[in-house]
Amino acid sequence: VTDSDLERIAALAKATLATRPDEIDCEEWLARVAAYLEHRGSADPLPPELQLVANHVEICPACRAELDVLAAALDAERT
Amino acid sequence: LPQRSETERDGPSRSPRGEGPSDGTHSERAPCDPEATTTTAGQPSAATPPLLGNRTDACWVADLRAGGRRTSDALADLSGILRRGLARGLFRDRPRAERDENEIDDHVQEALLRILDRLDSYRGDARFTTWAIAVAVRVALTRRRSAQGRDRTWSQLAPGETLQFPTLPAVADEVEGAEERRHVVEALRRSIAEGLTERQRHVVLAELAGLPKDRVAADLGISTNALYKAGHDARVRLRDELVARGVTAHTVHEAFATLETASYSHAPATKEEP
Repeated sequence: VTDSDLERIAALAKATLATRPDEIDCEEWLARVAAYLEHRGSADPLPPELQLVANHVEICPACRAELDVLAAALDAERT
Repeated sequence: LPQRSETERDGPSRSPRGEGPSDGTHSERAPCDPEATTTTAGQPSAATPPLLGNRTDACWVADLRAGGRRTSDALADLSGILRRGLARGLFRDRPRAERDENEIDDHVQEALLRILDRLDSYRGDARFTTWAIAVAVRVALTRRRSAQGRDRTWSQLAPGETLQFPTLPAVADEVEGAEERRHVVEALRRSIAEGLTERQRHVVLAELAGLPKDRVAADLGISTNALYKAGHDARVRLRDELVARGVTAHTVHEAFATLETASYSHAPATKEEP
């Protein structure tokens, strides 16, 4: 078993226990993630529709990786 | 689609409000009002400045839809913005000299096509350029994953061969959380083997094997969204199986506390300094 195998097992276990009925899929995540990232500068609580963006990245490694890259791209744009 | 010269590539950065160097500026011929302060959806956008390169969100959409010179100008401007974003996002930990400019160009060209194709899906709840960069990142990482997974797809398994749960070597007792790890891994292995339908099992094992989603979906003849739905349904059943086997979030945390995985937090930052 490789570290990646073990990491994927851990990720699957965590995602499984974080599963909820109102999850959004990857396409809906993409539609909402820009608003989610722009909300970072706000002191207001995260609206429920954007909370689902945060929940999705706990479950989906691909979108988690995209958020990481996107956040870096936008942070660089702002500096 | 516009191709940028070497000197045009990766132009200097600008602030979100559009001050600064001219890369990405709005064509003087465009009829859009650059002073407008509403998003496409008509929402006030003071918290998220709508301007980047003196184009409002509405102007971006209008120009990209207009055709002719307006659209080609907008594409050229957007190309520069996407290029900067992808360069910094994809290669943020590497010196500029190590960036793969050709790879970035390919991603940008593909992303521009995707953005034009999906313009109707822009809802106006964020800056247009933020949405566009998000689409470009999706395009870039999907292309990268497909390239990495090219040699390992479902359809290339030998006849009768099925994906298997990874075989885990014995965990040494001195490893922190060793007992919990054994428990969780065995519960997961048995739950996948006994608690899922054949298709659900395939979807979950493909994820464990690290196969790209688009490849798995193509092999199954379904869309990536349908694949996500299948994965969700599988996780619902797996969750019940794991809980029945005594696995809790605390158990999982203890089992994998020494691994840096799967916990990603992008909680809203505290209010930014002006």
